[in-house]
Amino acid sequence: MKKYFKIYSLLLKNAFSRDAHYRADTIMHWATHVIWLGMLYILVDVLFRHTNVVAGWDKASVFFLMNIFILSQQIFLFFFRDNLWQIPNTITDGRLDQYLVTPANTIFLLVSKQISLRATGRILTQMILLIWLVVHYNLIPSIMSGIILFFLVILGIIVQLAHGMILNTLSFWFLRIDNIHEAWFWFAQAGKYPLTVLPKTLWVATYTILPIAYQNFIPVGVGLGKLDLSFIGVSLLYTIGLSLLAIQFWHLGLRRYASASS
Amino acid sequence: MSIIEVQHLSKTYEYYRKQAGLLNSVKSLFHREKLFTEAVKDISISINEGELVGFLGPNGAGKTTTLKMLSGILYPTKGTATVLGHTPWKREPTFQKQFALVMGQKNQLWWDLPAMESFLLNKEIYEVPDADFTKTLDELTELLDIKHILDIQVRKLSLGERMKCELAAALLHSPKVLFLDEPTIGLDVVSQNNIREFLKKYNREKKITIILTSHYMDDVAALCERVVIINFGQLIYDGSLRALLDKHVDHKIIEMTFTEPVTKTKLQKFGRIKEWAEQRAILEVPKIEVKTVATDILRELPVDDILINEISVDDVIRNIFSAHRKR
Repeated sequence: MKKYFKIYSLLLKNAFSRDAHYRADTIMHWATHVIWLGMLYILVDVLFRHTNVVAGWDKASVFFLMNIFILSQQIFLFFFRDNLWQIPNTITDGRLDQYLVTPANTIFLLVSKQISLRATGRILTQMILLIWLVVHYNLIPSIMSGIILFFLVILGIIVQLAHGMILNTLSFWFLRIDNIHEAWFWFAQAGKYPLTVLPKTLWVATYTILPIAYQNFIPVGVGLGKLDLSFIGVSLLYTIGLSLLAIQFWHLGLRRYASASS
Repeated sequence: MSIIEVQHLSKTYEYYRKQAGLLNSVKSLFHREKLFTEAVKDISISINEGELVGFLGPNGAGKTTTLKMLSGILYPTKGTATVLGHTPWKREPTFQKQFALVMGQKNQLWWDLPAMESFLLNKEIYEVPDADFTKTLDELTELLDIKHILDIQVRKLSLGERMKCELAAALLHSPKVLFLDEPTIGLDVVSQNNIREFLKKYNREKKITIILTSHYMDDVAALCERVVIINFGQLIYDGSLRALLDKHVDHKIIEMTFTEPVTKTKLQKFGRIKEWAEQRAILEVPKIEVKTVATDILRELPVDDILINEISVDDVIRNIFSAHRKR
């Protein structure tokens, strides 16, 4: 474990050294994010000028739901997303060779190689908004609810990582998986809206066969007291099961790895 | 003592045939023809500690695939292999800490950062103690003459400098076995020579076992006493380079310039004419007759200068490959 902390601290240091060269890029990313965020909030605000509640969700809870979704996505981007999106190329162009010969966990090295510091501005923006929402609307009923929310958000990030690993592992079978990736990415965006407004069958599908609810909706739903506490256990089991599946699937894929000719 | 044992190792790749054209692309959505290619066929070799072995073969012969199986990157289709007592494709960390793989066409260094940052990362990945790291780094930077470039971004280094840094990064954990895949590819003559000199010295001093694949015969001739030749995935020779040359080279080359024009007819009786111009010629002469023929040439022809050369190793290997292809 100590070894991996040391490796990670070096990767973090390297990320600082590298991103220091791309300050303009970081600022541009942050600016476009703020504009996009503004548009999204205006859209929801317009919707709630015509009604106070949608299926038990008022404006403040929807804002909160969206905010947690975006925050968890930015944290995911900070730590993992760029790395995950590079896995298909790493497999098809044979760069995976170098990972396979090093005495460290291949999945760890693949998903943590680059830390996207450019997401820092966006994370801070979301944090400020989140604090304002909680204080202004008095959203979190108790400290325990806050702790549960935090715990489930962490599980949600692990679920995103496991989904990403499973999708990217498909690269061992298919040369191009960017379309599958993209489809899942946009489909998962539905998780930033209250999924319980959907017909019951569809809502059940979002935590069974099309599991997008674990990333955000279940954490917020339980945290705000809108979903049953049993979802904590369900989320925990799902996260553990999916993570184990992702690891096993990766090892299965590795058996098909053909590298690339030099 | 044998450090690498390979028994009947084979690797078959599967791939799909895809014909050109839009219609064929549409067809391939519904039906694709699966094909198989045997990259490595039933190879068995044994390599002792401290040996420096050259893997030779044309493109697609199976050299790199063999190397990738021995370093644990690829699973074989059939056969067994042990390297340092481990089965490579089990990828045990205790094994991975004892070997290194350097591929001339792939970087392990971080492109946007100075090489030193990659060295520090490798130190943690391979769990090299501080004192050992400092000592080894000093030795390697001295031997490779890279001290002055350690703090420069890798992308700003020349190809030769980059390859030196790649070697240093690979050797920081003092591996017992080093797999080198085309380490001098694309390098200029001076850089190639620097890398060869380094490898020769490092192998001599550290008794490290090195397996080298290269297209440059100069690499193999300069470094390897033993060569393994692979063609179409099959092992066609395993033995000393000297014995290979003795077996396949029964000619020498006599290169001459003349003080006045000499006709082809006059030259024919001395040997097979390889090249001819009025005042310059190259002859191929049986090895055992070369002294007599040279004396006769000097006596009978208006020789200005004469050189007796060995047939190049490149030519010998090319002949072996083409003979094998014809079979």
